[in-house]
Amino acid sequence: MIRSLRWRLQAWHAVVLTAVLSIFGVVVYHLQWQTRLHQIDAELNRTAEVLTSRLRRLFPKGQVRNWRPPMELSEVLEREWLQSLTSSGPSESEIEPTRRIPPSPAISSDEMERGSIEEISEQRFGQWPFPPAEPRDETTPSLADEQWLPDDFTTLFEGEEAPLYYIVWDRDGVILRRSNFAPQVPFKNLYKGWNSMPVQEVQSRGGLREVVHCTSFGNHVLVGRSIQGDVASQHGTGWLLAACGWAVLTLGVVGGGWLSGRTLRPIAAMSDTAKNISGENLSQRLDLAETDSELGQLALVLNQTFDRLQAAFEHQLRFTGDASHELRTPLAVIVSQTELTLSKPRSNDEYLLALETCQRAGRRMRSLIDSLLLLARFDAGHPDLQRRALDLAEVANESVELLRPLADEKQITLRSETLPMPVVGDRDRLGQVVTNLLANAIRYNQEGGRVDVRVERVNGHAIVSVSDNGIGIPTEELPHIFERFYRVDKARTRAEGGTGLGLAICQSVVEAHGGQITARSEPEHGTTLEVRLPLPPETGKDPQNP
Amino acid sequence: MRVLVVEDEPDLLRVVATTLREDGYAVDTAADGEDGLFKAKAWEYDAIVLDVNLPKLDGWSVLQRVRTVKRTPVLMLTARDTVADRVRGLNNGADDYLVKPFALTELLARLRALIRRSVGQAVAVIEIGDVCIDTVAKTVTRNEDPVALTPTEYALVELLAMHRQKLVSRTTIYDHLFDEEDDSLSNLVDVHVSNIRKKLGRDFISTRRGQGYIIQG
Repeated sequence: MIRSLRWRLQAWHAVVLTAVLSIFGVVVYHLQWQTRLHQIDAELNRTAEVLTSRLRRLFPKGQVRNWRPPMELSEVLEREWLQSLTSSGPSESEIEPTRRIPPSPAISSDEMERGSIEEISEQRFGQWPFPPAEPRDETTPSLADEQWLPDDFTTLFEGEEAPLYYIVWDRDGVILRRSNFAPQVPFKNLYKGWNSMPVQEVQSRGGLREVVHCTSFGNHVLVGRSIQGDVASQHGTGWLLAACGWAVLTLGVVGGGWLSGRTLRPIAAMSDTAKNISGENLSQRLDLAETDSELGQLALVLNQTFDRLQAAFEHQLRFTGDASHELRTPLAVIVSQTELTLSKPRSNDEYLLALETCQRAGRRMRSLIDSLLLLARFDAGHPDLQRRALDLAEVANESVELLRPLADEKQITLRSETLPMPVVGDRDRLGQVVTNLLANAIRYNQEGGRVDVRVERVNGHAIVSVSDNGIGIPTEELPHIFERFYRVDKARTRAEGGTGLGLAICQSVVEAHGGQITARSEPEHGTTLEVRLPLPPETGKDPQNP
Repeated sequence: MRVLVVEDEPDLLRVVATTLREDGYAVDTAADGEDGLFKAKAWEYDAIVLDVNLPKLDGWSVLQRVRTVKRTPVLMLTARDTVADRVRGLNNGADDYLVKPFALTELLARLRALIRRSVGQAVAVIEIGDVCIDTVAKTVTRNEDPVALTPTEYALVELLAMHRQKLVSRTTIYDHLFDEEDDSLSNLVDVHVSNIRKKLGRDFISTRRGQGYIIQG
């Protein structure tokens, strides 16, 4: 189960899906937290800027030379801030002071160049509700005015539920102002001296988020708020993300399981079919419905393999059936003959006839068994050949002389045309091949026919050919004649036929010598069987053509 | 009883034919399928022993063609002994099946049983009045006394007894008692019938003049 392809696919699918979902969830969570912090920081910064600009008005001049507060910008910021905080919109009276600033004479750029900062400041701050302060006495801060912030602003910082708090230090860390519920915050000096740019810093302490603005004066304005609520809400988001992730994972795994099951179903079907294809039922085949897919191709290949298996299996079955049949017939003769003879007393002639019959059957069985054993040795790859140098022409002529009486009996002209042909091989076996071919040619020839034996050299090969002018072999039978127990002429009775193994043995012997045997036949005109053997290397070249 | 044996192995054919003749059968032989088919169609045999592997026309084809015209019982001889082969043989109309090599006694017993069944005779011993015919031992007893009959006389008694209460024509008797090599002149049916009457009683066989003989019992 655990090693099955389907479960491994499932497991990998789940692992990959979990990893992707985890990364995605962490990134989303982090981005959302960053966005939230940015929003908080922006809010704190805006508040701090308003406070800073107010603070500047408390210390308008004499403190800083060559520096001009960015008045217009501060006013804009302040107004926006107030509008955003008070949903009902700022009342006339609250913003009256700002609005009532009489339009100061326009200051041209020329004036800017010529006039001093003080002159411009005086002109512009003359009507400000807060009187222009005296040059600051370093030891006694003059920030006594409780009205330094607008009323709406103070509501932001007053009360237990106040969202924000602020603390104002001077550059020496002396607290100038602080809202009522501001926590204890250690002073951290950000002032780098005159001419330094204003500095802003953001810090998180515990559940608090704070920004510190350091003005060019060296005053530090801290605005902070609690972010406990934001953290809690972010945690909620985190749980939501996790729940969504689980849901997607479950869906993905279930869907993946369905998909892999669907994909693997044909494989299961194929394996079932393949299981059924046993020795008993080799004819069954895999369904080739999806020949275009990879599985279809696999099924095709498997079917071809099964075809070959079936062919080999049937061939083997036929062979053993034939062999058993050929062996059982002479055995039946022996068993029946002895039973008959022994059933009652017989005459001497009858005993003689019975013994002769048994001898004939015994010889036939021996020859058949010898042939089968020989073929089995060739099949097993142990042909046990006595390889020696020999003259193929001599071997052929011996066979011709051996079979001449048989040819004479059927009035067949036996002619041989041989050249000396030195080859290396087993003399007895090669002799058997030529004798076999000759015997077939004579046996299946008409009376008064002709059989030619030729030994020659063609293209560096030794050729022995046996041709007759007999009835020939039908074209459709020709490919089968080397098969075991195949008889072309089914009409031949057993009395004149051989074992049906002659040509199969010839083929095995010739192939064991590295050669090949071929048959050509023209029905009604004759048959030629040709044995082609390789020549030894030193004689491989044509002597006429070195 | 006349039997046809079709077998291409000459020695086996000779042995089987001799065995059957010694058992009292009239035997015809054929060495190939065509000859076997011709004889099977031409004569009335009591049974046919048919080899499967035959030259010219194999045993299955011979069986098929014989079955189109005759219901002669056929016993197939074959060297192939797989279940599929046997089933095929029996399905194709063979009445029995024997695998080579076989015991001759089994061949004889099966052949006897085949012939008996084909004429509707279920048991091997036929009793007609006080005459008892044992088809296995090939003996005839009258009042439990053995009666000596020649093989031909026995064959004639058996033939008529197998077809008891049915008229058996002279030609049928010729066909079933004598094989193709017998000289019919030396086998006059009337002589045999007369000899049987002497041994088994005058009324054992009735004559229907011009038609044939019948055992009434």
